[in-house]
Amino acid sequence: MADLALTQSGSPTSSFHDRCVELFEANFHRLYRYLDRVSGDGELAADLAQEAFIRLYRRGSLPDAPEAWLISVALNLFRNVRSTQKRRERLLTIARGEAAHSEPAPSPESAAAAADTRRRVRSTIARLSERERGLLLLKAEGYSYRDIATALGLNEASVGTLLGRAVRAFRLIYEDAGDAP
Amino acid sequence: MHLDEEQVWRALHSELAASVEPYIRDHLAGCADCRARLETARREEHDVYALLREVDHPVPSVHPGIMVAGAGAPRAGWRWAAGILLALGFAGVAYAAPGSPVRTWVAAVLARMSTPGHPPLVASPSAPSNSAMAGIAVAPGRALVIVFTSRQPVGEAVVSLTDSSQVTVHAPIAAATFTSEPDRLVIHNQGSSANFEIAIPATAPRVEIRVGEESRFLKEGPRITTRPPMTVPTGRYVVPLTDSKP
Repeated sequence: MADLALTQSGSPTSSFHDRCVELFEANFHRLYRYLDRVSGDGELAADLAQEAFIRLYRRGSLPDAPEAWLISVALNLFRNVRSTQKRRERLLTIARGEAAHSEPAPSPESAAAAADTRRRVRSTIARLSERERGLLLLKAEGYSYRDIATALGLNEASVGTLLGRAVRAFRLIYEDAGDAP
Repeated sequence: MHLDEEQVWRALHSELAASVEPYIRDHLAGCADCRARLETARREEHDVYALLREVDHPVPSVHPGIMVAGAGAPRAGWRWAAGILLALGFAGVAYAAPGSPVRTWVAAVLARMSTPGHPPLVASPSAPSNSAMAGIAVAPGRALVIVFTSRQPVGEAVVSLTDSSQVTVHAPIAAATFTSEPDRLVIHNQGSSANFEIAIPATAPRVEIRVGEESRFLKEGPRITTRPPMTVPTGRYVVPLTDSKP
């Protein structure tokens, strides 16, 4: 770990810096995507993903499982942000404006169908348990079973089984959401 | 004996332990039931992932240097850093080009950031040292249009010419958000009543500032045109962000 730590002067070593850049390039997009789906707020997701990487860099040395560490930090940041009234208001604003999020639709019918699909997907994500949501969304971004287990505090040996349940839970809730008014 | 669910999902995700993988693969080759379960899992997962993509927002273009800049800038400093990285995105092709001044600039920033007590990331002659300010820096390119999306009830943009290579815009934190596109910097200032400071390289070939649809400042080479016309002997130009007076 010595080559991945701060020098005595407090400046990051070049190998630490290079490794952080590699991690950023390999993981920023999928961490952003995960947070975007969890939060439903792309701007917030970008903020949180960047902040997680900044904290990694500020840490000065790499944790044993940096990908899982980044997920955990980002999730904690999200929980903190979500608890503030200000952010809740912003999320509501975004949710109200979501119909404008998509590209111009070819017809009112297809626009309505697309909006309905998004509503159902968002509702489904929100109704999953936190563990199911984490499993499903992290695996969707290609994280390994080990990283998922570490980030979510699960037994790695059962990640596959739990993923299967999460996929089925999503499908059931999504179909149920279609019946909702 | 069939595969258990854990084995099915691990087979789907190539997460089988090396010690059992040959056995699992052999079993799948000879067991139609387990192959069907594997295909069902694959299809269900594929369908769910397709639905998840329906709610995705575009992934922002962010440069890894954001870590360096953000780690060295306490509190809201990373927002300033984000502006710098947006500038890199804006520079785009120029950054990748051999001998690009943007590349040189980034290298200089990184070098400075690795030194304790480094100066601010982008030093503009007119840049305020107030930490409550945020900003963005972009390369002017051959032509740049700076657009304030909204007219404000009060407020102005003070424009100065500098010997910097970057166009920089400063504003109080939360006064506006910035979006950079090729040849265009958009300042989303709806509901703001802030003043902005804009530094433009004296060497920039063409920089225009618009408030809404209205062009209010134009630099073409050494020539400056403002609307309304003004004479400012100090090399600083005040662009009103309010409704234009008849």
